[in-house]
Amino acid sequence: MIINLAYLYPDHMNIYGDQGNIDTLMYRSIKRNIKVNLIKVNQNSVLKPGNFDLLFAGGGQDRHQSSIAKDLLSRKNVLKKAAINNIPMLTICGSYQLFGAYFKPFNGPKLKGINIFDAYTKASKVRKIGNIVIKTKILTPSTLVGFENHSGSTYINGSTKPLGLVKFGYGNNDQDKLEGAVISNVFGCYLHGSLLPKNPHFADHLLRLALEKKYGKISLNPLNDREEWQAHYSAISSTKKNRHPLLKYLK
Amino acid sequence: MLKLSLTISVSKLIKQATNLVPSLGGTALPGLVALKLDKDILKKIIIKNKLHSIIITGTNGKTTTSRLVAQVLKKAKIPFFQNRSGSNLIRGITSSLLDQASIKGKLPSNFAIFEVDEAVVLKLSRVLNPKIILFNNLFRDQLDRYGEIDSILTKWQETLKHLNSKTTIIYNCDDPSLEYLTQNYKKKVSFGLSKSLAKSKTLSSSADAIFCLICHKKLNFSHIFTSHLGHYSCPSCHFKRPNPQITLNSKINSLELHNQYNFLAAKAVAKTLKIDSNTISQGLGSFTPAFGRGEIFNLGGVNTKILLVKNPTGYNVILESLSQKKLLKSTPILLALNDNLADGTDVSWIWDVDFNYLKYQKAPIIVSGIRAKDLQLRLKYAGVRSSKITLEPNLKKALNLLKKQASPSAYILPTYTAMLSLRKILVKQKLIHSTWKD
Repeated sequence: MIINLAYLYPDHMNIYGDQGNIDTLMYRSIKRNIKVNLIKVNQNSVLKPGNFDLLFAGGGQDRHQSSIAKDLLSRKNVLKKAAINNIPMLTICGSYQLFGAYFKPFNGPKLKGINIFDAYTKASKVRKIGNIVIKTKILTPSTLVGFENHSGSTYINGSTKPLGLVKFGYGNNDQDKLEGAVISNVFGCYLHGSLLPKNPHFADHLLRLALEKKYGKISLNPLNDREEWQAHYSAISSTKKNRHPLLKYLK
Repeated sequence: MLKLSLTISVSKLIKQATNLVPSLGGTALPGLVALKLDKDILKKIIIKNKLHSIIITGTNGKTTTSRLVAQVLKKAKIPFFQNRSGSNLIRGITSSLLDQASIKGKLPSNFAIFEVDEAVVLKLSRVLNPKIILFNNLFRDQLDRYGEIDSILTKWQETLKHLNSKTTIIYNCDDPSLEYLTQNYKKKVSFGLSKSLAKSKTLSSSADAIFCLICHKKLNFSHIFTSHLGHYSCPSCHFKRPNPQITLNSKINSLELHNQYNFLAAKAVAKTLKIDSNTISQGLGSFTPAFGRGEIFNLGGVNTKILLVKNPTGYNVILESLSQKKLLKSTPILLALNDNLADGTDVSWIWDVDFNYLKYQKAPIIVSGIRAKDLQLRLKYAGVRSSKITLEPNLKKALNLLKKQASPSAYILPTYTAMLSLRKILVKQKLIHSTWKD
């Protein structure tokens, strides 16, 4: 078996550990004798429909986000088609925002997104920074852990569903207690950390979606994930401690 | 006048109190209170003493460069004073000024070296009106605190706009961001490494300034030292690395890369101060490492070196320089990762560190600190054999494990607060001195 893994804008959208997500998808495939063909897609490079089985796009600085926004718009048809075809895609932070309708920064014009998620994002005054834990229906165990760092507040609508409910942290906008977005097999969220290394169930979910689309029903060999789950649960307990509701009275 | 003396007295009293009861808090408290009592206290003291100053800033190398400049000034017999390493925010700098001032506000000398946090340069340079500002480099670092790398560069651009024409800017021209920053500034001195010292031609995935800051095209790098430090030019506009005014003399080629830059920076400062070459090389030659940055001590017969690691580039440079000395494979290492405020609360950055250098490690690797389990997982994905990794989140126990290794030498690579905790333990065991002052 082989997975064609597209990595969108590795030169621009690679802030703080996004490489860890790619490393994890590759590691967990190779351990199972599944070949990975990594396709790095930068500005102006070619990405044809049908050429990728799984896609990842990360976060970046505001300046980099606006310089790729136009290029992303030119790929709107290819990516929409892939979404309708149930190709799994994971977008984090800056790319998550641009997979919605738009991102309106504080200064400067609105950045138009590609409208895969029925969602929009506006910069807010409070930057949402800290460890985050959410609960999602799509995975067992249901927890996802990570670190969020975003000024944008995202609001989702209609057929786009949240990835999960915020247990500790801010999430999409610090108001509706929702985090992330899901439509068909496209996922968006604000979780860095890196996300996939210490959430191996999510990494496997993406790999399974990609492989089953291509090869029909499969089962992934279990891996020894002792260190992964140790990191997962220790992140939950330290987040719990740091976000204890009584702590604010001590500060 | 009375207010000035009163404020100084209060801050000195607090200093005494914090000396007696260390748990009362850090070195910044006297300054914090003084600024509350009189928000212009810093300005008043600077004017009163007609203070000349040097600001040293950048992501990596502030403390060591300050120390090197200090050593040259000592050799040149130029009286000066400096702030403590780590106390580099406004309140910390205010603390150190008030600590050294007399009750009437008189300082021991009218010349000062300040190591200054990247985000504070703008505010402080307006008050200080410095003779020199040194910009070492700009890398991704503590994004949970600084927000973005660009926001620091924007603040530095603001700084340069407000300077009077008498300030000299000294900068590392191997860093494209700094070349861009200074391109329209007149009074400047550049330093950089010659291409014979370049290590690679491929950029690491964590390199930041890889696009032309003028026309946004991807820069061509003919030589790379580390991250985005190298010899670069833009394929579509005039932007390129200039020929540096100050470059390395061959004598210090044996140093690790980060210290080559620190030496070069200190040399550029000394030359700008018109100190003669002999005195400069004597001063630089008498170098001893700063607090936690290459300190060596004897841990029960194990010759142990502490190397502070704070961000991906700093970590990569240290791992690379250790791996060049063939010793690394058989030398036990203690890696400690904390996620307190001063370390950065986001541990994502370890995924930008190239831990492949430890892949063929034969000696044990002990992982410790609050986020030891994240570090353990990171090493697994770098292909480090799990049989070589020992997890011990408790720093004291981790040190004991290191002591038990039957090895002539060992390395400790801690983040900032892990380094402070480790030093505290080592001071208690009388293995190192508690000297805060460098």
